[in-house]
Amino acid sequence: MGHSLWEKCLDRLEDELSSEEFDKWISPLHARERGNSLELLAQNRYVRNEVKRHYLTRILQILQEESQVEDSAGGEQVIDDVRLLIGGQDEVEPQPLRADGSGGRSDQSLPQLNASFTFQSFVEGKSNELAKAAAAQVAENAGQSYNPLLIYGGVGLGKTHLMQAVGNVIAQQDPSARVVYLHSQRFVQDMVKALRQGTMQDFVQYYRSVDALLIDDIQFFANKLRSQEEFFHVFNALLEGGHQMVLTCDRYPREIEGLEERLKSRFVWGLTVEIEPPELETRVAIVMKKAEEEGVELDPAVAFFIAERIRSNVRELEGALRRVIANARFTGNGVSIDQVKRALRDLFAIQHRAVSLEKIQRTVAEYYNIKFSDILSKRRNRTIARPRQAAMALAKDLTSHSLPEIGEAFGGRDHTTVLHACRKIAQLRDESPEIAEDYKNLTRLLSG
Amino acid sequence: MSGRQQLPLPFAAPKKQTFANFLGSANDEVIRLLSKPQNGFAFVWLYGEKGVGKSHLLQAAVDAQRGFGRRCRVVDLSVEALPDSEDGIEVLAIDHLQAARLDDQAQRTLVAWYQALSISGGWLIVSGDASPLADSWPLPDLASRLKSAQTFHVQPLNEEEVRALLTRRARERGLILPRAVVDYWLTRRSRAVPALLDDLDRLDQAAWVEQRRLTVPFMKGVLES
Repeated sequence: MGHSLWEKCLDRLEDELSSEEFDKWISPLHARERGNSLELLAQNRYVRNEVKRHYLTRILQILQEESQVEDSAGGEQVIDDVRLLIGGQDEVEPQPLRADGSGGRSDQSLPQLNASFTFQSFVEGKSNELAKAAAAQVAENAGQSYNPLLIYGGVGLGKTHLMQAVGNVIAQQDPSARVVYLHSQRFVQDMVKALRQGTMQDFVQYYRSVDALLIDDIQFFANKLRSQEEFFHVFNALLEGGHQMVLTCDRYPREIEGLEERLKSRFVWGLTVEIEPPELETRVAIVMKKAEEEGVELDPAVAFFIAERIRSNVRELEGALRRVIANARFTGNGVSIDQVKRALRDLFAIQHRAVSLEKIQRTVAEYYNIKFSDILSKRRNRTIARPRQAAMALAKDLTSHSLPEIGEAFGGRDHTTVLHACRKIAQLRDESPEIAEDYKNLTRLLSG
Repeated sequence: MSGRQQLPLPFAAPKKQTFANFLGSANDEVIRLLSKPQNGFAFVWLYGEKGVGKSHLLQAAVDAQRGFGRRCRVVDLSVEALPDSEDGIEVLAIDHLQAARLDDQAQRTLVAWYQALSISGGWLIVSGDASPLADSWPLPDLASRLKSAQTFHVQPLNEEEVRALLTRRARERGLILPRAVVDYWLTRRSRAVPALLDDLDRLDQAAWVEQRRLTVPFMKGVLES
């Protein structure tokens, strides 16, 4: 029986891991059943240590899930723990299997709260001061008033940050409080899993037993009728029990299509606040604050430069700053406006496309003010031949085409002509700063 | 001749993809970032043309992070679906992210992964065919998250590195690759790395079958046949 569970585990691990990993570490394990223990025998200490370090947690999770399926199907298999042994001798501590009915989640394994999301680290401005004040008020009086707190607004404006800040305050005030954060998509996933495994009662019980529930992006519940139904009951139970709920949404809940009316109305029962895109001053302050958190001293002019160009939301602003800082650390230079331009060149690029031979030909023709047809022609006067040679050299540098293919695209020329052109241009770039400059400009134009 | 032909068995030599066997000096910045342990959430996006080594970098990053004891998961969206988010994963590496562009469910699942990793301080490393700004993602919740990534345009190998790669790959197969053969190869065939490696496969097979060394006439015969 244990082997049957282990075989199911093997099937799943084979899907999840690379064949190299699976063949090296998992496949050689020998499984045997001892009472309610499943023993996994590794051929040596090294293998045992590697399995323990990288795979044991996952093995336990899979066995737990498969055990639950077995239970719900009326199977007889009971496994209480898993032992990882070396040839049956050197035992490491047994690893108990959890069966808490939480849909595979436990408070220990949950990424519940990120301690860095606090009210102190939240940069306040006109666009979000009301939402911050409301969240702070709720955090100080959790479950007593303003329940649920619903924060809504566009993407990447700090809704998750405020929600987490509320959770952190609740957890600080009562370290024994069970504060659960999850994305609504995860709620849906876990519910589907519980339905499949026949553990819905445990699933619902788990969520009803928390002290504070933080659910992100409730718009993801739209058109998920069964999830809405279950969440409705969880919601009511928590509210009746005086447990705080904090929800976020990308719009005012009444505007969500595919959401039941009874949920729409309940979501706005408590306090509903909007968070708006930050204005320039706030964006500058955010950049300065994030740089400070990274231990980087930033010239306000640089912060202004970044904030002025990235207006959409805070998430993109932070992403850009991380890129700038990583680049500065890599190059060993300080952060400056020129460095920001270099570091964000890719980010600002509208679109990266493979450069085509025709694009090279057209760009070169335009740059040297000659006709596109001249590039392909047999004309050999220098005003035509030189740009043509430059275009061939660019084609070799910027594309993966073979030299015969490049020659063919330039009016059916031989690959030796292309080779000659490349050598000629390389020589001219060394001899003539003007040609070197032209080549650099063309490369930049074509590379976007 | 046919009586003396060697029969090659279809055994490819799988090579673990690590930073140590990644050629491409222009990508040092991203290698340095991905090869170190890092505290806190990181979201790294690798993009570039086919064959520049994005998958190799992704696998190498996972290999390096596993070396630090982090629990990693690799998903190649060109051949498999994005699994539901799960607890305990510290590094999620997604290859061929562009495959999720038309898959609403995958996009929603990716948002859940992003949230879980950003809260737990995990890493999300993805590869795609274009930068996040170049693509339009229909789900706004995902689009804004994708744009927060640190993006790296993976640069192709320069000519010397391509030569080194071919020579090394040939050596791993027990083949000696004279410079004249490489010269011929690089001036007459596509210089895209995947195409070159396909060529090498054909040459390797033919060299086995015919028990020949790699010479320009032999190569010409094989590749132009």
